Order: sequence, then structure tokens, then C-alpha cells
Amino acid sequence: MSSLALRGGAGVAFKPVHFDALLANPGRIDFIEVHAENYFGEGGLLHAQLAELRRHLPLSVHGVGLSLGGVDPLDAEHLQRLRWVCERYEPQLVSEHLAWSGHAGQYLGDLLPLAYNAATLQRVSARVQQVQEALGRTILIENPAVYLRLDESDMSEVEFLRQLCRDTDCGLLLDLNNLLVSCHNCGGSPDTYLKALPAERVGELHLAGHTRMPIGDSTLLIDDHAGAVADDTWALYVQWLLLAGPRPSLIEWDRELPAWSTLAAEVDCARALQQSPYMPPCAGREKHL
Amino acid sequence: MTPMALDEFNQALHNVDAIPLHLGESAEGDFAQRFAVYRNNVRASRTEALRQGFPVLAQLLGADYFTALAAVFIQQHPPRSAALHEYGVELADYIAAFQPLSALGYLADIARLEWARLCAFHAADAPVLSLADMDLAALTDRLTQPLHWHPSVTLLCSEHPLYRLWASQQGMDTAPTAQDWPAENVLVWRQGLQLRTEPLDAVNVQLLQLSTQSNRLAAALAEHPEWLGHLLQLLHWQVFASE
Repeated sequence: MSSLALRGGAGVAFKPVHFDALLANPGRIDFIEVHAENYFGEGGLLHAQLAELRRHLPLSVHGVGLSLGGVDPLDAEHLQRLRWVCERYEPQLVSEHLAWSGHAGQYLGDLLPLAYNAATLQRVSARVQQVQEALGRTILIENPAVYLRLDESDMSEVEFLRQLCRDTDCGLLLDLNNLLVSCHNCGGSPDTYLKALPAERVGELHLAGHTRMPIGDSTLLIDDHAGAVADDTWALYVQWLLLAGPRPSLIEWDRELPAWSTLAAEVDCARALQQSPYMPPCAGREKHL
Repeated sequence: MTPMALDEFNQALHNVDAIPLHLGESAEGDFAQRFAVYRNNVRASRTEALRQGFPVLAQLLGADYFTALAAVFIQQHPPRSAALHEYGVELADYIAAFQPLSALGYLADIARLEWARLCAFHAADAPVLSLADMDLAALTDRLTQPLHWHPSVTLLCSEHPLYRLWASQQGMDTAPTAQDWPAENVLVWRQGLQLRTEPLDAVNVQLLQLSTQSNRLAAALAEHPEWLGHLLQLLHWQVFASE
């Protein structure tokens, strides 16, 4: 099993359809990330593929359904299965979202927004600590893509994350696409957000595509992971690299999957920018082909 | 966020007529449209999970009908786990009791078959009983003991031509007609990493059913030595676990 520490480099959200291409040349990327819940089954092809890839590549396990922001008690079976995945594959990174995704025993299948205030902070902190104790490790918490702000909020998202890190010693997964989407949709400056983040806590970056949806006289950005990383997100990535330096950087492309070569080219862009963040952003490259 | 606010937000996700405007910041006059993004995401993720798990059922019903059926099913049987590949265990029984589809009794069996495939795909790995490891004496001895099905195995005995109905939707067989509508048995399992779905004759069904009971298999083969070939096929298919 690859035990290389992850301090930089670029990887992809692994999809089984890309298994053969990836296995043919694992060194094409630096790590893979999988959604934890997809590996909650006991055996079969998915586990066989992951075990094989894990021999060659570092791994990030990314949870999407633990509902850290929810008010139901944390699902004990879910947590047990997450622990089982982590024990089986010994990932370098484990992450979850600042969101809620379940309520009254139902799984809602989306990452829903939280009000940022002291009461929420206290609840989320206790749950993050519970997860970290169950897994015996620190986890990274991802900033969400949001479409509205809740009236109960009385602090900024970045301040909430700062305090969460302080209270729980957790790390952060900085999703630059989410940051861009949220700032566009709900106001705020990506520049200010980046500068206010505790950079030393950021253990991974996410890069993804988004789409635009008309709403009244304006536009909402929708975090749909259905395309190439947007120009603005690459620009924000350069800004981050100049500010804080490389982190393991993941290309998230979860819908309308591209050919492996297209995905690998996105990885190349992230890698190239880590080497030289002064070059023009990669995005828009297809316009020049 | 108070538990009450979260509860209101949650209820509005499931109720098209409810928008929790008071939860939003007053500056956002388009709160309803923003809220609809979340509502649509919740509905779409659940519907898509069912569509991915039950593709042949979706094909037989047509996309629009399947979406409408999923909408009412989800109301009564929302997912309980974030592992959405485990969602839909109740769908077959729901369809069986769904009055508008009562004339199409085979649809529930299609759902059972597709659920079995989902279970088989994710089932635990287990060492299989292999002929390569034993001589005739060892095999004879083994057959006096109960056998265990591989964790991936589901046997479906349908009143409908279940295999052909399923296979014809993928161009693997011809569709049955009203004049040619026999009952069919289907075996779903994983042979190694390969998901298998095969029609099963009556002898194989009987052998599988007898296999889990002490001495019954050996007795059946003593009475019907011609069944040995059937048993060898089941062994070759790796449907028995070694322990």
C-alpha cells in the first residue's frame, strides 16, 4: 500500500470507468479520492479496484453523507462503516463537509446549508470531535457551495471555519470552486476569504466546474462537477498558490464524465501551476487548440 | 441553526407549497428560487439513485412514468442510509401493491431481479467451493454436508418469463409474447468479480434448494444420477462458498 505523505501534487476523484487507463500508468497522477459511501458495500469489483489502485497511489477518502451539521445523532452504523473503510485502505486524507444531509432518520442526498452562529459551532464541533475520536485521526472539513444565506447566521463562513479548527484541531479541505460559487451567490470576496483562512490548516484543495443558472435578473452558480475547471477557479488557484503554496489538489468531475485523457490534462494543469504559479491559468486552453 | 429551523427547512424540502422565507436573509428577494435548488437536488439525487439501481424497470416504464413512480415511492420510502446503492429494497413490493400497475405483475419481479443484482454487486467476497481442490471421494463426502450459497447469490422463481423480459431489454434475447409466457427462474450471483444473471432450469433450482440441508443433495443425486451434470455446472459457476 502506498504510504507516501501528501504535501502537494494533483489527483482525481476516481471513477471505475477510468480504472484500466489509470492502472496502466498510475504515475500519471499523484493520488486518488473516493467517496466513502460508495465503498460501504462489503466486497466485489469496487473494492477489488480500489485495493489494486491503493497499491500504487495515495488515497483520500471523502465522506458526503455523515451530516456533520445535522441535529440527529451521528449515524453510528455510518460512522462504523467509515472507520472500516479507513482501516481497510489506510487513506492519507479523510474529509467531510460543513453541511447537513440527513434529518429525522432520512438521508437527503444533498449538502444543505447551515446558519453560522455559536450554537451551530458548538454542535458541529462536538460532532467533528466525535468523528475524529472514532477514526483516531484528524479530518479535513470542506467549505460548502451555498445558494442562500440563513437569517440565523451572525458570523462569516470563514470565521466559523477558523473557530471550528481552533475548537477541534481539525484541518480544512478548501474547495476553490465552492468558494467561488458561494461568494458569487451570497456575496463576499474570494480574496478576503482566502486571506482570512488559517492556511496552515488547509490539507487539501478541490477544483471543479460549475454551471450558470438564470435567477430573476441575475445568475446563480451551480456546483455541479459536470465540466472542466472554470477559468475563474484556476485564477483563484494561482492566487492560493502564491499566498500559501501547494497542497494536494483534486480535480472533481463527477457527472458527464470525460475521457481519461481530458481528466488527466486537468491534473497536468494543476501540477504545472504548482511548479510555476506565474504562468497564465490553464483554463481556456481548448480555445487555442 | 436551531433544531426547529432545520426541521422547517427539511419539511419545506419535501413540500412544493412551502418556502421557509422567514429563514432567509431579507435582502434575498429570490429566496424561493434559491431554495428550489436544494429541493431539486434532494429529489434528483434520490430519483437518480433509483434509476441507476433499476435501469430495466425504468426502461420498461419509460422515463416519465419512472420519474413519477419514483416521486410517490420516495414519499413513502425515503432513503435511510447515505449509501444510496442500498436504496430501493422496498420498491418491488411497492410496485406489486401499486394499483395502476396491477395488470403488469412482472414489473415487481423485474424490480426484485435488479435489487438482487445490486446486492450481488456489493456482496461480501468469499472463497468458493471448487472442484479443483477435491477428488471424487472428497466431493461425495462434501455433498453429505450442507452447502452454503455464496453471499452474492439470489434465486428468483417467477410466474413470468423473467429472464427473457430482463434480457430482451438489453438486446440479449427476444421479448416474450402473450402466447409464449412461461414461468422462469433466474439466478443472480457474482462469479469472481463478474455479475451474472442466468435462467435456471427446474433441476438446478431443486439442487440449490436441497443444497443447504444435510444429506439431501447426496440422496437426490443417488436417486437421479443424471443430475450430476447440473450440480457440476453450479459448482463451475461458483455459487457455493467453501465454508
